[in-house]
Amino acid sequence: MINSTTSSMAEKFDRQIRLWGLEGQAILSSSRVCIVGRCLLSQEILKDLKLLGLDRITLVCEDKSADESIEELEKQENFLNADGKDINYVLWDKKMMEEPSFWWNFDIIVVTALSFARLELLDKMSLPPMLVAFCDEFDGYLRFVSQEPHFVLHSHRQYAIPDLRLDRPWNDLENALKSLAPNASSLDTVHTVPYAAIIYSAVQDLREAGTRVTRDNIRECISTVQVSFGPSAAAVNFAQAKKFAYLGALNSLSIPENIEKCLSFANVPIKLPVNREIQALVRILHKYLKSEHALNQLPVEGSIPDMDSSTENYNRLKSVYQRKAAEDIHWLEKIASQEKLDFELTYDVLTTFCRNIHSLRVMEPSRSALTATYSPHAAPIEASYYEILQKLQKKQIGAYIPPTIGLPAPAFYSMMSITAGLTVQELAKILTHQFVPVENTFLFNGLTNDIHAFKT
Amino acid sequence: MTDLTSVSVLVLGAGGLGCEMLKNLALQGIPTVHVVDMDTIELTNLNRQFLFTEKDVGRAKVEVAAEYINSREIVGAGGQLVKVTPHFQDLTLFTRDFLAQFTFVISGLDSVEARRHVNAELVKITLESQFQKCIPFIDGASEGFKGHCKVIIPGFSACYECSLNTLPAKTETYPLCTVANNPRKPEHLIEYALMVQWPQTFPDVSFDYENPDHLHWLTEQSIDRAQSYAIDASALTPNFILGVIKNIVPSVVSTNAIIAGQCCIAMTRLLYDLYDFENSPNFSIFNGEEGAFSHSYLHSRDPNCLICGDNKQTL
Repeated sequence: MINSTTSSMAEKFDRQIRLWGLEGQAILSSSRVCIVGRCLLSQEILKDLKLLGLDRITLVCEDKSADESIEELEKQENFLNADGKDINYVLWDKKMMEEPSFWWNFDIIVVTALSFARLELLDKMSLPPMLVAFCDEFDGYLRFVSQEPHFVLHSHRQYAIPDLRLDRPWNDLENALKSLAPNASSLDTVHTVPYAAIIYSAVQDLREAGTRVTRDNIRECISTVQVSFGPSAAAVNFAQAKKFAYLGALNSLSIPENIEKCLSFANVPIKLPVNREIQALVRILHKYLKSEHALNQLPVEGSIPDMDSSTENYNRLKSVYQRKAAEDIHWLEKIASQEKLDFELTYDVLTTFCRNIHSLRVMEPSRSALTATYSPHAAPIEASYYEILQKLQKKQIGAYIPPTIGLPAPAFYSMMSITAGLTVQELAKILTHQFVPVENTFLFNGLTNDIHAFKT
Repeated sequence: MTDLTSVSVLVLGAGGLGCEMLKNLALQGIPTVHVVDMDTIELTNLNRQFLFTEKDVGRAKVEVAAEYINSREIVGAGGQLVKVTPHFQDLTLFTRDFLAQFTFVISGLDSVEARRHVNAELVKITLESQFQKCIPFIDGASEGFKGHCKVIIPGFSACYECSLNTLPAKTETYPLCTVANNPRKPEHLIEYALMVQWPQTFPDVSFDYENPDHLHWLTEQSIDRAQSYAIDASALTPNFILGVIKNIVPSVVSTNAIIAGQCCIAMTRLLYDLYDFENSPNFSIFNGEEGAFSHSYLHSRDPNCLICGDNKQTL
């Protein structure tokens, strides 16, 4: 039973819980964030973080603030964060800040305006993930910095391919698909057949005839069956079967590129708890794929899309997938129990992992907050973008750069709002390990509203 | 240098986008701001509408937003204090003369119809004044990690009506035979309870989702039917049911800050003559689900547009 405080929190954050679930919100609410630099942008970030439900925030200020005038800053602080009493303000202290242990009090660090020597100091230490953000005139940038790869457990891919395994059904599924298959002797129930069974039956026909199993051939085969059945097959399920014919032509032995990439990061050194947990799952997956249970196929996700059919037939098919998914999770659990882990993998995490396995991702953050050069492996960025990034980085450390557009400073205020929004959005994605964060630097231009992302 | 002292902005909507827009305009020093909205504050607004707190729940959004900003006594352009004037009303009741007093109209609404109304009025202002008066209409929208910003120069560039086809189709509907005879998903059960069972049981009462008794009845019916069709009823929580029947979309402060900022920065470009009425990319789309994607493009006018197209006189 949830108590009333939890339920009123759940209601207050309902609109964002619809994005990342109660588990995502729980992570955010308990996360500790350190913002480094006191400036207009920091205050916007602070305001956004509080709205997200983060209340363990420390703001490290320098003895002198960035180029914005103090009155301007105080006016805005008073506007945005009037109840600043729950924020822990800390003045930059050389001795304290040189100690990595100070920074490891936080789950993530956000750096805005900071002098060069101090930014360099941070850059040399091995710290929790950092987001480095700044904006000036119509330009803004954001960089995700971390010494380790970042795993995404649930990337919420919007148009995911249903995991139906019609090319290699396990026995239970094969039996179900065969018994559900459209049958000329029971034309009155042909409209109750879920499309998976129609596609599978076409795949079988093609195989028997020695014809290649391609999307087009499956479609054609379904059409022939449909015509032979006459008007009783003029139903939605046949139309759906033709639309999703490609599901019969997939190869469930091929491991998607994103998962191959995750597997290649299975043994790199990792410090952060959630990353370690997901990395352990990836190692377990590696063993699982080689096991005689899996035979090189990924665990079954277990959920199936809606298919026009009778409730009974749909439920029957659904339970076959659910049973197999549970069985696969059980196998993963068995492998996990043989691993020597110094933490416990919960059933919930295993379930989330398997349910979203096809969209599992690993990202490579930038290793350094400072560099404006790009890696030889990444696509080269255009010279003009490189110049903008350099300009922003110089401004960020307090260097004087003459303005290029002669407008009064308040004219650019909305750039603070945009840059803060972009920063906080990435922060939420990184902390929850849901949705795919930026890999790993981007520039935003307020004159064109374009974002240009690149990897350094 | 552009003189801001006489600039006035009408903000449509005081929700997630509206609060961010009002803040940006105030801190940019726009001296005269009006805001219209007919909603009152709910607890679920407080994850993104930072001008409101828990003690404001139940009050008119525009009143609280105006009080918040006016009480801060922000010195705007020309040394005047920024003043926000609230309008707690249906914006379609504004007269054209009222709208004509503004330099810009910026919208963060959730209703397509309200936007269409304002768009049509603003196009008429341009046409009736024979292009002597033109009030740019900047429209923001957000849902989850996605959003858009449209800059409409009535009479010059694509209007809101010209781009109606860029909007997604209305909410998903389920065929009646599915919800009646072959329900498979929890949504099917809710839809049946709402569309069929409710009117059969209470022919004279229209369903009110604000009413806890109504919602309770709907939940019970859905769960009952879930059991008889062997459908997993665990998904049928009040929040899930409300989400389905009210078509609640996710909303988060980060996307709202980005989109509201894009709308306000577009206003800045117009103010300082950094915008080409006919050639600047006028529509932008944002998606933050995977990395961050934002792109603008030039959406052309629709020559057959019923509001600003060549055939408008025939109507």
